[in-house]
Amino acid sequence: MFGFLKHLLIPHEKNNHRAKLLHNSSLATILSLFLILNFAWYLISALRPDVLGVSYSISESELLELVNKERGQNGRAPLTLNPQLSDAARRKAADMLEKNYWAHFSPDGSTSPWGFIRAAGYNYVHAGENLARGFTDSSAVVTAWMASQSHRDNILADKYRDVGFAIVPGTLNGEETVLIVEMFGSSVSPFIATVSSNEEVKQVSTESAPLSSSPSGTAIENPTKLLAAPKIDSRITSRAISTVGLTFLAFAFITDLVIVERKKIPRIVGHNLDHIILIVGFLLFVILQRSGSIL
Amino acid sequence: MILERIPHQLYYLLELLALTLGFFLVFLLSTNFILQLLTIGIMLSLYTLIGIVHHKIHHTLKLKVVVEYILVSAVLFAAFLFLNISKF
Repeated sequence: MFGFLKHLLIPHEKNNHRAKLLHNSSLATILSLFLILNFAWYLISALRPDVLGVSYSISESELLELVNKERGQNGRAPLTLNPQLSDAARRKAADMLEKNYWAHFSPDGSTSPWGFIRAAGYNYVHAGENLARGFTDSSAVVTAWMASQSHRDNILADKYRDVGFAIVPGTLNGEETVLIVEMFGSSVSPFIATVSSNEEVKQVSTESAPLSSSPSGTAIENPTKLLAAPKIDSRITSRAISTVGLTFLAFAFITDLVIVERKKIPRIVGHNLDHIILIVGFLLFVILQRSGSIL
Repeated sequence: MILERIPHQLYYLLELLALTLGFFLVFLLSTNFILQLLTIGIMLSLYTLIGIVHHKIHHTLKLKVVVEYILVSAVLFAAFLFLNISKF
């Protein structure tokens, strides 16, 4: 075993003074393994999502509980789950998926969060919207929102009384993802208006629309949770395999560089330092890469 | 040749800056997977090209060196695809 590892990682006479792992034939084998893994992962997760897939645990009740916990810890009154705001949130998520955008306002300017709230029949004085995508559990979503000042302000605002959520899986910009829309509001007399901030709107409206239809007239489904527990979580496993594999490769390049530099062995190979910078940079990117994004 | 006098350290520093910028761009594009793929593809192609030019300048360019740069870049591209396999 030691001899094999030495042959793989340490440059010496028997491997032509180049760690065997760094020979072009070995690099080609590593590339083939990654390509086979990609194909196998895609095939298995498509055919057996119960075995290999992404674990999800996001629900309306969990989000409400976590948001109200944050409000409680900051001395704010809890928000009440409002079916009209949840309907507005679902309309917003459906619109983003239909028109393929990730923003508070649609790029063509035809829809706004406030339009969806009005269309759902909620007459508001104050309203706000938080968006999230790509998260796999409720607590990660609320943690990310709380880490951002504008989203935190919405969650902790005194002026809101009601909240609604939508958790909608779909394809956005060619990527399979899960959209989470959180709509805040307070509905009092339609004749009272107050000043708004950038994430909310001062608007008094008596407009309403049937709850069963979106602004475009499409029926909105009512998913309140997204739960999936495959035997193997594909995100965690692929991340672990890639990180371990590339760390091993970077280690081999570093060892090779140190030993060959010390012994001053002349070779015609690529610059190890080039590859080390690239692989270490990639590993740092993987570590720092966020699992989801908020808006 | 003037290019030969450029020290290796300066080359590595420029490479480090270029890769940092590239990874930062990929990080910023986290909401658009297609653009991320495109950016990482361009970045790895440039990495291979710059590596080849560096060897050419110092007269150490051989076919096996070119293949090595291509393979390392391809391994990282495949690893990036594998990391994001759940997005397909």
